[in-house]
Amino acid sequence: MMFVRFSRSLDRLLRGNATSAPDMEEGRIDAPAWELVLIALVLAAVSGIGIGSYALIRKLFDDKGATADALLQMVSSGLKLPVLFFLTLLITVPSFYVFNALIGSRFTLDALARQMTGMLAVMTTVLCSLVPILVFFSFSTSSYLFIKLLGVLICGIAGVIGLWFLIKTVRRAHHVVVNRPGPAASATPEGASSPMLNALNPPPLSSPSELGRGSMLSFYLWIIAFGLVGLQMSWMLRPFIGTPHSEFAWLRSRESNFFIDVARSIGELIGG
Amino acid sequence: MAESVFRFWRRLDGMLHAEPQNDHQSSEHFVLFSVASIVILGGVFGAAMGSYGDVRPLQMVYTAIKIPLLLLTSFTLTLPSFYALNALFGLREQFRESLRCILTAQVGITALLASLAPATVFWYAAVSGYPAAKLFNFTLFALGAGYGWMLLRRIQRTLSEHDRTHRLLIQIWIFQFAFVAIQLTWILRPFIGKPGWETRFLREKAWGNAYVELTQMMLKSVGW
Repeated sequence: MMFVRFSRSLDRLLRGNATSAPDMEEGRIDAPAWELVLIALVLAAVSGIGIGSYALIRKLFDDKGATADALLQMVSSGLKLPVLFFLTLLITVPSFYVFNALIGSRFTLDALARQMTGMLAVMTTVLCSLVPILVFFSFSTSSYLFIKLLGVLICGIAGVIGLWFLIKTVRRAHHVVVNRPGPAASATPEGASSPMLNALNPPPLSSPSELGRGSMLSFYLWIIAFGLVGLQMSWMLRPFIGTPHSEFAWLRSRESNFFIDVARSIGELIGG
Repeated sequence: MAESVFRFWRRLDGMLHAEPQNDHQSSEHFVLFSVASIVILGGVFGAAMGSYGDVRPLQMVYTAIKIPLLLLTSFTLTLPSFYALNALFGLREQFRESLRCILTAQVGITALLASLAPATVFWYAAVSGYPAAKLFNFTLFALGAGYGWMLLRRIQRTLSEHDRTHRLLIQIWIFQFAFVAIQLTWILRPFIGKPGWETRFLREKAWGNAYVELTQMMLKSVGW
């Protein structure tokens, strides 16, 4: 029963019904925040287990490393991925909120929390939907570097789509706020049926106020901060995949950085 | 029996000609019908493909299993993200139609390949040599992929007229499908079966990564 209910909420959110203009006017996403948080947690954990299953799969196929370590890796990835998402939010949201309040934005804390959790739910859904492909490659390839890069790629895709969703909803809310009590009602049917068109071609702001511009700018800055903190956080919380023959560790020592490592991996992968 | 074969044929014909689906009855078992078509048609082509060299019934059976397995596994693995993206872009309402499109394309590919099964057997009889057989099948696969792509373009037109985003999502799906299918083809080898080698379902210790190996092969060939 719970599952049906959750999947229905998620479906509504994904379809954009939960972020239609009348709801945004009141600054809310029409889905209970706790439900979205739970959905995001579960999906992140499932994705983490999928990503962390590489070592175990290789162990079963190639008989490398210890089974207990591989199992632990899977559990630890399943725990670390939700932590990664929520810690990143926890670090970036407070400053965003305070800054926004200072420049006089109308985003309330409640609205913000809902939009952020909505974004997390979208991000984790996309990630989870891509994990089967990663697991398939874990089965069929023994190249750790390839899996690592593929993992980075699918997390990147999920991140970009999640942030795109957030931009879309915030823009819509912003539009409603700026144009109030303007054409919010007329925007409803179109917004509900094809949010994509809305996101790509946002309706022109009839009265772009200084206040509105400021809050959108701070929002874009926040997205950049979120991306950077998320990357660094994922680097600090390594390993998510875990090499099959190395000993299990919850965290690895800090060294190098994300970009250097990805560049090095690409070089090693194609260079043999 | 003849009756049901005839009905199957009629329906397949309608599907490949992208006839408008106004009968609700046929849409009910659409997924089942498509999967059955892929298994049957893919099986026919697979049996022909595996008939190279001396008659090896086992190899024929294996390849007949592998062709549908290749398509259906790639399809299953890419389905979750196809669904999520469709929902996310607000196209959840037309998901049935989108699903119909991508399934039809796969049925189309297997139908084309099955229609080339006699030609494959003829080629094996007429031209000797394992490399030639490999090249022939590679060409057929490329042909099948091209045909599937064209078919998909045609049948998704109605959807795209409704919303251009459909086109984008289907293109993303094609990319994902190809990404998975190429790797799956690599690990499901051998499809033809080298004469003289023991007939096995999968080659021993031949698992690896298609992309890594292909890149390394290319780099090696240019002397890097």
